[in-house]
Amino acid sequence: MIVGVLKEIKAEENRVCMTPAGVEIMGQNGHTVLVEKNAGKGSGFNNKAYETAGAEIVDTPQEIFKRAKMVMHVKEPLPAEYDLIRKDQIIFTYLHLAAAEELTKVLIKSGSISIAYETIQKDDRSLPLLTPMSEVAGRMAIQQGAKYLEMAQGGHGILLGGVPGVDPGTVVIIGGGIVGINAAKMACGLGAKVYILDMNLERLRYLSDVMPSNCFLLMSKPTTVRRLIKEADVVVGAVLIPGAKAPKLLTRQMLKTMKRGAVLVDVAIDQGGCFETSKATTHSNPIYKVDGVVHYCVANMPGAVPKTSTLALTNATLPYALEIANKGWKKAMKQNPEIKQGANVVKGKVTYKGVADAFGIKLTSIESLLKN
Amino acid sequence: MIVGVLKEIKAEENRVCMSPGGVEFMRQLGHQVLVEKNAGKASGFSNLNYQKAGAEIVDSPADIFKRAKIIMRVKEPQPFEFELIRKGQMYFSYLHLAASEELTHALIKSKAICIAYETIQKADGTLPLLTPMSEVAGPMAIHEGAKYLEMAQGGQGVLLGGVPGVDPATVVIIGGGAVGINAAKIASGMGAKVFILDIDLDRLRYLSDVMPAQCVTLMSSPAAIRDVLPRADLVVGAVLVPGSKAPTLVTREMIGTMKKGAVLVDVSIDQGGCFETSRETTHADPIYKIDGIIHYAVSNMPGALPRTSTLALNNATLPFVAEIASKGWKKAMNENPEIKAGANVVEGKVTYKGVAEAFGLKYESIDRLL
Repeated sequence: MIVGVLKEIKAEENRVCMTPAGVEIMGQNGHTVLVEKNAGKGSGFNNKAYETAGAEIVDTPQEIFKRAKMVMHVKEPLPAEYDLIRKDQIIFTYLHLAAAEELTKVLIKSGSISIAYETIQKDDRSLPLLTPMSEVAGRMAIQQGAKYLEMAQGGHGILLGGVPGVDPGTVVIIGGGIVGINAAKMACGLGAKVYILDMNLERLRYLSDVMPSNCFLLMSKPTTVRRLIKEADVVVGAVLIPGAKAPKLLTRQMLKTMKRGAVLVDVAIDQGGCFETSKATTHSNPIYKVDGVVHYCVANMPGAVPKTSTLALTNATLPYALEIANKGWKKAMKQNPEIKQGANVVKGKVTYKGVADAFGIKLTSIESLLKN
Repeated sequence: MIVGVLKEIKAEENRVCMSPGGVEFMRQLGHQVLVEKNAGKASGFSNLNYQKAGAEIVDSPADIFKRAKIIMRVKEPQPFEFELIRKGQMYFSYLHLAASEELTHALIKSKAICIAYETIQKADGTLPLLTPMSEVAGPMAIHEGAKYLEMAQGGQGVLLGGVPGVDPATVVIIGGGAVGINAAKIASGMGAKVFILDIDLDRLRYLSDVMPAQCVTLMSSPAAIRDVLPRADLVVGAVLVPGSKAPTLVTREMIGTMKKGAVLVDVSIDQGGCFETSRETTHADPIYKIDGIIHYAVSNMPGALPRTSTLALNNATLPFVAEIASKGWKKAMNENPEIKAGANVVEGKVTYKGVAEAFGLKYESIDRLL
């Protein structure tokens, strides 16, 4: 199969959807990989590295859409690319269609097979192509907290880890999933006092087993949140309800009870944020203050560390891309229910419930499209 | 004795030299403490906090200079205060006189007893009033490195701790003293690969005993530095030679061998820096790039974290100021050689060798004045 690797064109997006190492493995499996010129630049891979791995460097996205059977991206197609998508072409990338009506309609019209990274799902309900980015974002969240606690950045001037004889900072992490555990690892490593709040008692038990003793596990309840945020120097919003908007766990009212110069990092901002006062910001202008509390709400946090994020993402995507390329999309979906879960819009039909519900479009079962 | 606590007036300096906790302690020893209005504000202490602890809030620094027997501060006096310092008055703060001829002459002229935090020294050679600030600057160096490795900040876009399946960053720390070990603890805690270089083999043995296994100790030499630099994502300059300019351990040529978008944090910048390409920056404008390498060289790094830094510094300074206030400077210096080592300019004489040598002034042994 001919696989096309597009250069990212969204602002502040420096990742790439396949590394030279991935190209090499694709080649070993008999596939041809077209890579758009300079696609890997922001992630530290030059055209030469791709060529050495066996890729063909292609000048324009037009040519990739024309020649490739499967087109890969990190981010969703942008309007400039809408007309290039061909019937029966496989589009494999993050799509987030439930938040994008126009794109959904474009994909329906295109007749392509659009498989979304973010809805590929394992038996245990985990989302293997969101996990790596949650790992990056969770770890990054603490770095942001530490930096914006500096007084010149608007913070109240606390060193997260303290020093001998001086209290360390208190980090409150709301949500004990992938983002939460990774944030907690970093915060514990810095020597802070760390609280993780979660509603799943089994998860709290697991966290209690694996985290160091400076990490305290609490059942999440509004009263607990209200009590802890008063002590907090950094609060990390790490709540994810798959396919839905994040719940508002910290209200404007509660914000007033926090220390002036404390820092909120809302990792849930891509799902609307879990603090009432959150609004999405960018890496070039990442923070603002409400009631004296610093808010860091950068959408797409992992975009800031593309070298790490590209490797983390492609480690997870490559096995799926390879399986789809080896078997074709029908056989791959039939044999691997995880890939089947990724089907969002197939041959003009919406096959993912969340997307159909969002726009009142008729849902077509993917099974019915996999027959014959 | 009357102790005066001045508000800091240097740019970006938000610490305060005595906390309300310290005021209470001084009161229990029978001393009176004057605190300049709003002196503790940025460190999170209100005037009311100080009053409750037993301090008297005073509106003007001139009043404090007039009434107090000991003047305390974090930073050195500024030119407009030179005239306010009185004969026989004690001034106890960071002074860094070897870098400031004008201040040295002003203090000689004042005939005051000027005791510098940074030259108070223990029998084992350590500097107890520099240690707490090194403990702040070391961890902070890693926080800065992590932040400036972000691509939007100019860095190459690497996450310090990596993630499962992806290599963590490599952190090289030059100097295994108080800054180095504290930087290494944090870098290790974040999951980075860490190298500490030092020239003291006993120190390397100690570091090897106490640090986690991902922290590798290396005997420092130009060859060792040349060898690790091309692998580094973050390099921390953590070298201190007490009372002297920091040696230049990383040359411009070596920097040319580094990865583009790597980050240098020069904690030694207060002593002139240990990278050839370092020049002082501020918290408001902290970084610049040379040969594609980000340089973070903010002098007075702990000033950005005044709440932690104030407490850390106070924990260390309070026992000394309590002893000086309780005994008077002569008896305190006679009985405690650590305080004696702090004497820089006393009653018009330069009593610290490094300062006398820096400006070709006559050196007078403090023992003669005692």
